[in-house]
Parts: sequence; C-alpha cells; structure tokens
Amino acid sequence: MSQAQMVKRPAMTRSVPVQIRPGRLLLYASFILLTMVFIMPVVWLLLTSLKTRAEYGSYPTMLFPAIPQWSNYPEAIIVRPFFKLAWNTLQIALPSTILTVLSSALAGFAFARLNAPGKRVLFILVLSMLLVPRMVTTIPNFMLFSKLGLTNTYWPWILWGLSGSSFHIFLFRQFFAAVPKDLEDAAEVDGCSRFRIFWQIFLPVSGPVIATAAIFHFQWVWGDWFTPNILLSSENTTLSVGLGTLYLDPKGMTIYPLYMTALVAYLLPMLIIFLVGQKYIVQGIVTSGIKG
Amino acid sequence: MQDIARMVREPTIKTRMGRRARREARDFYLFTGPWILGFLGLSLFPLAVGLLTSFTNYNGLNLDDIKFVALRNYTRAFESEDFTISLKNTFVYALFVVPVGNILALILAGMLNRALAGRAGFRTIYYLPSILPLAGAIQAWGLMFNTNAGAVNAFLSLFAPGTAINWVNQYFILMLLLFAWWQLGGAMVIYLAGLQGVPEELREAATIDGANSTQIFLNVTLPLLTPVIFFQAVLGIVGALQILDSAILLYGRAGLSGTVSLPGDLYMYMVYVYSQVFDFQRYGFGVALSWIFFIIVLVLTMILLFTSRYWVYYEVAQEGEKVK
Repeated sequence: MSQAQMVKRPAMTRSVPVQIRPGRLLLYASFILLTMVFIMPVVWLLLTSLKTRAEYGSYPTMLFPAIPQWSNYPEAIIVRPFFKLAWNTLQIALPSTILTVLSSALAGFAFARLNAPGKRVLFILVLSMLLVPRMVTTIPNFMLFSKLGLTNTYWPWILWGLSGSSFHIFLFRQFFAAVPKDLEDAAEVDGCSRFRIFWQIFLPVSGPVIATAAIFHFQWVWGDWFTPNILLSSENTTLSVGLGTLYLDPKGMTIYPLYMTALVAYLLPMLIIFLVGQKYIVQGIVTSGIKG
Repeated sequence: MQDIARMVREPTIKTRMGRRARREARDFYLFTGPWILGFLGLSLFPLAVGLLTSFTNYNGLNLDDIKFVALRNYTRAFESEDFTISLKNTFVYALFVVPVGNILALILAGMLNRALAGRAGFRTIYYLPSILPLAGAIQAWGLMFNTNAGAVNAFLSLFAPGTAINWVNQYFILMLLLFAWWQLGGAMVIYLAGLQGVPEELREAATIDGANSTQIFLNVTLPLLTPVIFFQAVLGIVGALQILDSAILLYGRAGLSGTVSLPGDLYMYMVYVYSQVFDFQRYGFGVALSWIFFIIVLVLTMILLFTSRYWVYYEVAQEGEKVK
C-alpha cells in the first residue's frame, strides 16, 4: 500500500501496543456505515442488472434475483448496438483528452516558467473563464457550429480540445511553478530549445498531473450529456445520450434490467481507469496544490 | 494559491527587453497560442455574438428578417413565472449543497486524516461516486429511489410494509441534494491533501501550549485551510448554480430527442434556459436568460472575493495589498 506509506506521518511509525479504545471502535463503525451508504447505489445497480424483467417489476421489491441473469450482459452489450455508441464516445473522448491535456500543459508551462508582457492579464483571463457559465458560450457556439456545418461532426470537441481548459491550465501552472530551476538552467546553457525543455524535462516529471488532468477530462466527456445531446444526431451520438434508447421492447417500452446492465458496462471503464489511476490523482492533487 | 494572489495583484515591472527576453516573450506566446486562439474563437467571439443575439428575436431560422428588440428579452424574463421559480429553486439548491457538502467533506477528510488500518480503502470508496460519469451515476441514483424497484423503499418496507414513496416526483430537489452529497468525495480528497499540508510542528506547538484538539482545529488547522475552502466555495457555487444534466436525467426525458419533461415548478435555472433554446428555439430569449445568470454569478463571485480578505488566511503577508 504505497499510498498509505505516502501519507503516514513519522509520529505514527513508532509501534505502540494495540489498544482497542471505544473512540476508535466508534470511528470504525461510522466508516463501515458510510461505506455501505456510498456503495449502495452501485451494488443495487449490479443486483438489478441481474434480474429478470418480471423480477424488476415485482412488488414487494426483490432484493436478490432468484437466478442471476448473467445472460443480460451479452444481450445488452453484444446483441444490441452498445459498442457502436461506445466507439462513438471513444472517438470523442480520446482525442479530446489528449489535445486538452497537451494544450493545457503547454499553456501552464508558459504561465509558470516564461515571462512576457501581457502575461498577467492573460492569466487573469484564464482564471476568470472558470467563472463563465457554460451556457453563456455554448448557445452561441452551437449557433456558430450550425452555421459552419460542424454540428453532427466531432470537430467541436477537437476545437475545444486544442484550446485547452482553464482548470487544467491552472493545475499544470501550479505544478510547473514548483519544479526547481536548476534543471532548466542547465538545459538552456546547453542550447536546448524551449519546446525541448518542456517536452524532455518538464513533461517526464509531471506524470501525476498528466494522469489527473487526463482522468478528470476523460471522465467529464464520458459522462457529459448536454453537449452531445445538442450537437449530435442519434446515429453519431454517445453512450450518455443514446444508451436509454437501445433497450426497448417491440412496444417501445424500456427493458429496464437490460438498460441497467448496459449502465454497468457504461460505468465500468471509468471505474477501472479510476482504480488504476487514483494513486496518481491523489499525488497530482497534493503536488499541484489545487489545495492552495 | 498565495503566489497567484500576488501575481494577480502586482503589476509586472516594465523594463526594456533584451534579445533574450524578447525570445522568451515569443516562446510564451507560442506556448499559450492554442489557448489564446481558442479563447478568442470559442469564448470571446461567442460571448459577443451571444450578447448581440440577446437583443434580437432570433429563433435559429430568421436570420434574414431578424429584428432588434432592445431589452424586451430581458424585461420578458423578469415578468416570466418560470424565471422566478427556477431561480428560486436553483438558489435553494446551491444554498444547501455548497455549505453542507463542504462541511461534510471536511469532516470526512478529518476522520480519514489519522493513522488507521484500511484508510486508503475507505478513501477510495468515498471518492468513487464522484468519479462516476455523471450521465450514468444519476441513473443509478434514480434506480435507488425508484418507487417499486428501488432499494430505499425496499429497505423502508422492512419497517413499514408497503412503503411506495415516489421520491423523485415528491422530493425532487432533495434527491438532487443527496446526489450531490453522494459525490462529495472530490472535495474530500482536496481537503485531505490540504490537511496533510498543515505542518505537524504547528499542532505540536499548540499542544505544548495546552490547547485541546478543538482549539487546535479552530485556531491552527482551519485558518491554514481557508485558501482551500475559498477555492472550493467559489468553484462549488458556480458549479452548483449551473446544475442541468442531473436535473433533466433524474426526472427522465420526454421522447428520445432530449426534450425536457420536468414540470415548470421543478425547473432549475439552466433547465429553463435549455428548454427555451433547444426545445422552443427561442435563442434570443435564451441567451438573454444566460446573460442574466452570468451577471448574478459575477456579482456573487465579487462578493466572495471582496469578503475573502477578511476570512481567507495567507501565510505570507500580501505585499501586493498596499501597492493596489
């Protein structure tokens, strides 16, 4: 458990005989209670995904399916066009994430390490864009994209990605500002170009921040409903918009257990990415100091 | 955060630029170039287009015979009942969600900020809901509170058989609040990082001086966390006021096109804007609504910024203060 070591304070490494105090017991009891509260919706989703349609609609509510319907999974994911929507989503989320992270890292590096007239004003602009409500720019952007014929294409995400994001610029700026100056000086004496300094010295040490920014952004795009809903038609749309429409019976009613199965499949990639990357996220938050 | 406050307050000193400095400036603009272009094309220009549109009767199709209506869209907004109700709903929501959510996140971070077996595991579990993609997380939430198929009614039925509360219809704003609190793990992790940044010596010194743990928290830990709390408060309020996706998705949509099915008295402000623009094609009116909102957010942020100098504590005295 490297994370546990990372946060362990020196005072705690002294070994003391284990005593079970009532305070500690109470703390653990509340931790366990909270755990149940926090994971209940996910557990319930899993249970529901294994029910039959009759069990889903039955009253009183059944806690567990009589026989777990594992066949819901191939039915929801392979038989119905789940992967088509997943592929659409990936086609948007992946380029968008890569471009946003790169562009934000470049700008964050410049704000942390380079001086230029106008820098202060620009940085105030970066910060103030955090306060501009999304809708104020999105409606006119939608109007412009329609006029340019970019609706129902993935170009808007490319353009947004290229221009980076205020939040991630801030994140990178905070991180790069804390990197010691010596490295860069040595490289500059050797006649390295600034881009090479950025690419070969700064980026390789910023793994946690890159991971943090990438995971946050990917998760945001994967879960965003509003933007694909206004920009894309139903055959090009993402999982977040289209998933509810895939699981209809011939009468047009939603087959809920299948829909819930698909939701599990929709959440799962993010869950895996998070569990793999959370060590870096925590590091990224600590070192880049969103905290202050 | 302190260096940011300083950087924003202190004007850069103007000097004559040598060749080296000029090259540095050129590199600066090359590196920030993509962002600057994006800012101009995808933020500033749309803002201007939007502002102009808000003074017209544009409906998406009438570009040829568009009419200038001066401030009529704005006056119409203030006369509209949906405007008042949605604004009220949104403020009730934000007023609860931000303070309560942050206090709970801080308490949880405090509980986790001690040496405990298995605390990395607990942290992961509490953090997890906040990283679930929104569109799916809100559906899982809706399922939990579903009248017949939900776990909450099933649980309550153990004590009161036959409980069949339609949570989403009857307690809509409460459901959204609980959903937001379910996702407080994001703030918790940031507070945890902040707590770990509090130097141990300070707490030890206070203990030697005879302070108890409550006093240490109030007089040592909390002041050092105020920059974090400030950051969280500003972003939290701006975010909470903009609630849109979760409100529409929790209630369900009418049809497959994403039309809003919420009754008007349950509108959140952005839901109202969304439905005016994308369901009814009232672009001029919708953009005007969004600008009213923008101004409200700006005023709120200004108030927070102004009061911050009385309660946000910076370790280093702010040299910029007097220069200003």
